[in-house]
Amino acid sequence: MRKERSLVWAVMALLAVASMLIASCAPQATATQAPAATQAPATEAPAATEASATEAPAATEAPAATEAPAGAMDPAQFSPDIKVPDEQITLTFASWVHTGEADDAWEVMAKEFHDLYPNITIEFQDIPSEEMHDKLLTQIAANNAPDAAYIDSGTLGEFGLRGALVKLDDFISKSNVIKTDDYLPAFISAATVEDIYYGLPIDGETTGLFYRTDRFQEAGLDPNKPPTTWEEFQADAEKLTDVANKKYGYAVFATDYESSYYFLPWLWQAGGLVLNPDDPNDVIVDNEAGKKAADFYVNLKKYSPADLLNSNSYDGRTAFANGDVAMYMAGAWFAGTLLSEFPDATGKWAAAPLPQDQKCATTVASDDLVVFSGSKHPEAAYKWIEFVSAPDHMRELNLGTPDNPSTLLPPRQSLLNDPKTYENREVLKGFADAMKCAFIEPAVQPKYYVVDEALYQNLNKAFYGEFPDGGTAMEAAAKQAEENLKKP
Amino acid sequence: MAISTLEKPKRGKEPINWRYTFRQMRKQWSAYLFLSPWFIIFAIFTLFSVGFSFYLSFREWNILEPAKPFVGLDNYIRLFQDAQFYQSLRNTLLFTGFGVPLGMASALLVALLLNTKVHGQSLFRTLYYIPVITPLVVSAVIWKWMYQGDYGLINYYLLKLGLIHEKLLWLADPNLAMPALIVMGVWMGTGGTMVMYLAGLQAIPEELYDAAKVDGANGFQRMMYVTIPLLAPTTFYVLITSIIFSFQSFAHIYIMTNGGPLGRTTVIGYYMYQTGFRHFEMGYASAIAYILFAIIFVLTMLQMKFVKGDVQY
Repeated sequence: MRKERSLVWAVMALLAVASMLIASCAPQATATQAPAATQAPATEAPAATEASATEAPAATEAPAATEAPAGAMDPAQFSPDIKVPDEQITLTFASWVHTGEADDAWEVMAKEFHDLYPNITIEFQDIPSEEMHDKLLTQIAANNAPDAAYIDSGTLGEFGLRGALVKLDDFISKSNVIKTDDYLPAFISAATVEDIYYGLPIDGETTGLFYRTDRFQEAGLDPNKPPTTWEEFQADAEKLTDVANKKYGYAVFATDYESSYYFLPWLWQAGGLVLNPDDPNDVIVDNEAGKKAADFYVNLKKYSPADLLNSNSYDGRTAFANGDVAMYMAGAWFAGTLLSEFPDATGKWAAAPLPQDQKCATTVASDDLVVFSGSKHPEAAYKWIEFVSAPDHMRELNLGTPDNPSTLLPPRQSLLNDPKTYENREVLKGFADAMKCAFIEPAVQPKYYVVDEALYQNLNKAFYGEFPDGGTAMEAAAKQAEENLKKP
Repeated sequence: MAISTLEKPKRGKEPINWRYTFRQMRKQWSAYLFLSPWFIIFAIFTLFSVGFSFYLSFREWNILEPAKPFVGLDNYIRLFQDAQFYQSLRNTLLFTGFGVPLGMASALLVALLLNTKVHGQSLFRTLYYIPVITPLVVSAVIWKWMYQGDYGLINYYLLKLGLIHEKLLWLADPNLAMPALIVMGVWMGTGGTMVMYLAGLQAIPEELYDAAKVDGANGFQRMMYVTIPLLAPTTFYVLITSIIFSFQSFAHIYIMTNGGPLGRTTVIGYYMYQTGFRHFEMGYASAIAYILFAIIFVLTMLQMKFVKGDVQY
């Protein structure tokens, strides 16, 4: 009797524990750790049980199945020399561009990819762009990184330099669709570290000047004549600013990372550089050009909403979309955001190249597809990033759909020179032309974050009036950066 | 030395004690089984993490760098020479020093009011408690809008009432950002503390007030000589927990000011995040965490020693 009761107890206790564990794990699994937790049961199990029985024939039949429809893709088009897994696998792919809607280009591409390689299934991990870096970092630390990811080239440099990414040179040499001479050099240098490929450039952008044509008209300026020089820019900003009525000409930020990021084009246009090209430990923002650019940049505070000083570019873009800010510096992608998220503003804005000083210069940014060192299936992961990098796929991903427009530059020259790329995306032409002004610091400093920190901290102080002008801030920044670079 | 030799025989007895404990545990093993889910989670996500971070604090532990060398006390030494750390410490002390007393005072006031027989008592209690159950991120975003200079509600009403004549840049002004965060912190914390004070108030026997009334004590005297002394245990508990929570603030600062302007709102919790996740220096961030722990620990010990938590009649 007693024994029976204790047995009942034990069973109940076990059940309770089991259900609580399931309950406590389940929401976590879907909400935060989706990839790792859900991947295991979904893929590992079928692979083990079905692989021998059902999938083996599928693998051999696969080519026949995909060749059947006319004009369909053939694996031979891509990289026949890179082996396809002979059992069912699932690849995790982290990005912030996949929406999961039925017409989402990424979703469609994953299906086509699966049709071409029936053994490989793509599982998307959707992570907001601002969380991507931290999330991947924790996943790498936990040995739990996705197989492949879509990351910005800054993150690529950081991860690549530290061994977190697979070197792609061997794969590229076996590929029929990745021809590195088709890519623009600026994007190649963003996808490589010390001449080793750690990623395939998938999209790119140059930075341009967005301006409100409605505000230009109100201020008596010609909406077809955006400013082309610093002098014109400042004069226009002055006319567009009416602080009492909450109307501003431009927007600057005095926050970490952003104040320095938006400073660089001005610095380069003035003929300045952050680092001495011959000595990456020599910070030269305090030379004549650097001081001039900083003075000009910090002075733009006059035309900017004071609120935004301690805010971020997200709020800045919203202020532009609402018409509070009349001119705004942003990458080509912002056009797509304006089109899709702020349809009310359509027809009230245009984009132009950045105004020039001594020369034209614009920041280029790009995103790359990478494979993580921790991946169990680097070949398959490479096949996926190669597949989406094929010219037609790349164009589709960069331009989006009519309902979901995107305005990014395909990094392939063949696409950039093709008029078809600009159909219904005329705004993109200017950003593509600006590629000739694309500028990248010649010197490579592995501890660039130390320099960047000195730069933004001192620019922020200048914005808040702790330095008489930008130039003085540059002297302090150069000194601080050089001292901190010397520290071990 | 003598002590250790004396202790050794005692240690020899331990296995017997353990066996006894296990035997006792086996009698009630289903109870432990019921406890196990919590305990397993606690062991992995708290005990292990706390221990591992202690280990990290003696290493140069960069997430991405394969080499993670042992550096001894370097992280701690570096901490004492780090101007940004001192700034964050100062900010934390400001945030706590003003935020905690203000929060406790407002919570006590609300609790006293809600302890009287007002109409809609339960409605008010709910309303005051809502900030506690509102997700922090939601509150932070809403407060960020309210503090906005051009379009924020707070400036709108202050200007309308003629209390200010020019818009104030609550979150963008280096001198206003911290006070703005403190006010928001008080708003967030009042509800939780209020509930504890309400519980404390209801535990005070009615007879004491009756006796005080018979002795001719007026309302203020009843407050000073009955309510406040009898609330001492609650106050003590609230003080300790509020200080601990306040020292750990992070999320709303991350959302509202990003530690700016000019690092004026970079509290220790935010600085820890910056070092760990922006500069990847997990070892250094762990050292900061342990210093934070030490500070909270010492503060709590001091309070235990000097603030008397027992009731004095």
